[in-house]
Amino acid sequence: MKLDELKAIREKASAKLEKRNADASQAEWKIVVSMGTSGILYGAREILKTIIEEVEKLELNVLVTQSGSFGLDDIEPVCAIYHNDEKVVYGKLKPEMIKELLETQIVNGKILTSYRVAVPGDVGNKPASE
Amino acid sequence: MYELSLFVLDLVQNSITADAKLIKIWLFEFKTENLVSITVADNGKGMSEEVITKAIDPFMTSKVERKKKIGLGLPFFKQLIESCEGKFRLKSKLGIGTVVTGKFPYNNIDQPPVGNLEETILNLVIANPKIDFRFTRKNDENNKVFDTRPVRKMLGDDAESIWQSSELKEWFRNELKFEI
Repeated sequence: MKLDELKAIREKASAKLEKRNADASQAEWKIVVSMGTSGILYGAREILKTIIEEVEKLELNVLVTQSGSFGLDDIEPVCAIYHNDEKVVYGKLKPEMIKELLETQIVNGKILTSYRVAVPGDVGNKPASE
Repeated sequence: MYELSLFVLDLVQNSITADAKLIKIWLFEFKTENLVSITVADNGKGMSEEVITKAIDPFMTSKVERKKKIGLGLPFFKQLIESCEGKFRLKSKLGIGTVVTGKFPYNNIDQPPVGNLEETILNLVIANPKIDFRFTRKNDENNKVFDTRPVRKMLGDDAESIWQSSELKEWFRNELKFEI
């Protein structure tokens, strides 16, 4: 392993991160991709890969991560976009949708209604228990 | 599933769900010994003996919040290995971790292609900044090990915050290039 290179990477990436953190409008976004068995079968791996790539291209300050199945197996692949505590879920994703999705939801702060899935507890929906 | 790498992804997701902090993956392809071996080991919460017997039952999952208890990941992998005339093994201990192994003959006609395992591992590493991965790939000519632990040590406190930066991703990608 070329560990020496990491020093330079650390400095460069930290500087970039500080600059992004100074822009408060970008803070606290998180994207979670459902990576259960059914999600994987319907292409969740490619969705996660595309989200990571597009986040990089758009230079967004977003944490991209994965989780077990959301239980929405009939509309896989599924991802949830969190802004602070607010959540919006999108289903039946295709890699070519991701750019539009990130631009609408994260850059412009609007919900992309055409792919959005209403689930209990997300934005505009009260938790199921209420 | 049509690629071995997708099965690996599924097994690793089980490890992540089990709160593993270190996940080790091995892929051996030995033509001379007529053996393909794939192993995923984690230091997650592990399973009790009762759960182990249920884990390979397609109608069981460890998730308590769901009413419908169905988990097909491990049964799928077991079925694949057995359809390739191979051996499936699941070992687990509560509080220690879990090891899943599949071994089958190299010349078996039913085995799926490995697929893009390096890309799969890269995205697993990127998407899980809090988890360490060790990936070993061996064949008759080559032997390569990728480990995130020295990287985390080198980056120190900044590791988690810059884990998803494009610079580090590029470095990981280069480290994961296997000439096989």
